[in-house]
Amino acid sequence: MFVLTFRPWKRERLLAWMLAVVLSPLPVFAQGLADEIQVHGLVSQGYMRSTDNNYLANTADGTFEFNEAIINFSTQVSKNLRVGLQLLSRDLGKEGNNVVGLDWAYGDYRWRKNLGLRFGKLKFQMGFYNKGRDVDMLRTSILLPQAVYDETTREFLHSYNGFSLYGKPLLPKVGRLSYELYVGTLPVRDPNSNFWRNNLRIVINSMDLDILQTIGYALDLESLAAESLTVQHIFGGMLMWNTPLPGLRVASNFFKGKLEGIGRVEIQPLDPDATEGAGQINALHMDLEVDRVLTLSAEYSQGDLLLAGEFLSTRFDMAFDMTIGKTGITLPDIPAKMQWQGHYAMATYRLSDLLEVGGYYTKFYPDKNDKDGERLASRGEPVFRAWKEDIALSTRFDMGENWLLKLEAHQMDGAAQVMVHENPDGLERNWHLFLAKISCHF
Amino acid sequence: MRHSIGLLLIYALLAAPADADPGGAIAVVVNKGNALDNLSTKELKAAYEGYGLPGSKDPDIAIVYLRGDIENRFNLKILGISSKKVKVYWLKRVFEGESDLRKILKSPAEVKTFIGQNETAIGFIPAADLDDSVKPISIDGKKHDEPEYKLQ
Repeated sequence: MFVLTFRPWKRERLLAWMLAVVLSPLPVFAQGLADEIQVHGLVSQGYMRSTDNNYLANTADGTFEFNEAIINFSTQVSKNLRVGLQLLSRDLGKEGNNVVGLDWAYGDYRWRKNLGLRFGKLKFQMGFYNKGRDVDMLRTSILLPQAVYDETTREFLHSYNGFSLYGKPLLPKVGRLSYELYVGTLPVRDPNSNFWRNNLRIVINSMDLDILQTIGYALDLESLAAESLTVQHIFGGMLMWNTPLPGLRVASNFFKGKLEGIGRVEIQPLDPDATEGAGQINALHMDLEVDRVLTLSAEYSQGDLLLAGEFLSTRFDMAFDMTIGKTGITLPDIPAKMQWQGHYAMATYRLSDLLEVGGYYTKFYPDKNDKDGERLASRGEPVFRAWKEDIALSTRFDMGENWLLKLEAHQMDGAAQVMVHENPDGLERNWHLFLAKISCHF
Repeated sequence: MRHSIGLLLIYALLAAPADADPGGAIAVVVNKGNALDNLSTKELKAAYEGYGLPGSKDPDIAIVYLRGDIENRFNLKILGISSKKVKVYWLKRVFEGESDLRKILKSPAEVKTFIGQNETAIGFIPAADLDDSVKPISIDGKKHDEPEYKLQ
């Protein structure tokens, strides 16, 4: 059973519920076309436990804070125009907390086969599987490879508000192409979510702040908090090619953007006997350029076998203005960079109608220029925060046409993507994660 | 005894196929007003994957399925995947914010009625159920009653 909590009504949420209520008395069909309203949904509940580090939730003690409930409606309102919306309730540790919200809502005008326009809150295209990441039925594993599909980024990388042009030209001899060009903004619901807290901590810790030391202070990173974070814009595109070789498709996604944030962090005097200045607050102003988020993807499926591999490369250029509380001193344009890199290789095989098995190997580096952790070590951090290597084995049992059970084990080396603030007793380098999940859909 | 007979009846009902496929050729049909006469296997596959029909400006056409074993036979021969995977393919599209273009009907008569009312739709029925309410099309240049027809 899910506990649904509601925040004060926001306009988009109110609109979603009104549409759902208005649509609900009409005849609905789970499958169909045209003048019918299609309704689909799913409910899932999982359990996670890790041997050491808390990962994504309070997993070291075991947690049931791992579920989704989704319902979507769509209908063809005229020959070329389609509308749809999806409501989502989700819980993953501190993320989601089963607040029901509008996940996506679109108008989709298909002018030609090769050209359509979508607008509204749209699913974000990144890699092959980002759009369907909440739907267990679509894959063998419980967790997608986290080097590319980091669960902590889901809140803001799942959908965007804006416009997209898309098409699926069918080119004789070349195969089928799909393309999408988009512009809009990503909604950041919680600037202090695990993702932002963790990454701001990494970035600020990597900055050259010798000047602070020369005036006798150091940052207290545990006090770091973001006050606001606004994505001013993003723009990008996707190109997918279903090659003439049956079952083989390749794709690339690319986007750029600009973010602005305000945060605070305490500074402490380096001299423990000094009293003046202790507890002073810095006002942090951050300008972040998303210089590049690039994914390269390949997938081959033949019969019951599926092979896939993807590569993620990012580059964020940041500039911080840091105002030191009572002193009024401003340190302008302190530069910082964040360059993630991740990849995975995955294989799945369906053994029977009941059973599918799969596994993947994935590795993530939060700083591609510090893969062995030397720089981290020089700043007093454990070297194994410089990577996370994950070997996962999954089994999927299709219990019936509409429900399934999954079991999964991960062997981890490294603690990148593991939140420092969720592990106050320290991090372990080698650890395991076990997951079970049951899911039904219609 | 009565209990056992009841259980056997229930089992027999559950075990019986919901819609037995009579076998034989599967005819691919379109509206009589549709100029289409022939599709290659690739074009038919593309249509059933949601890419529309060649020559048609309509981006979204209704692709009509006849429920039952015939559906699985059609999917395996044209799309190369089982009906289960076809269902996952379309649900994936729906959860990703796109549309399910399938119209799944229970009898050849329903398919013929639907195709008869929708100029751009495409569907399939047992060739034995063909009549003049719909137009059968060739696949790779072969008609449904020719020996090398793809959906024999």
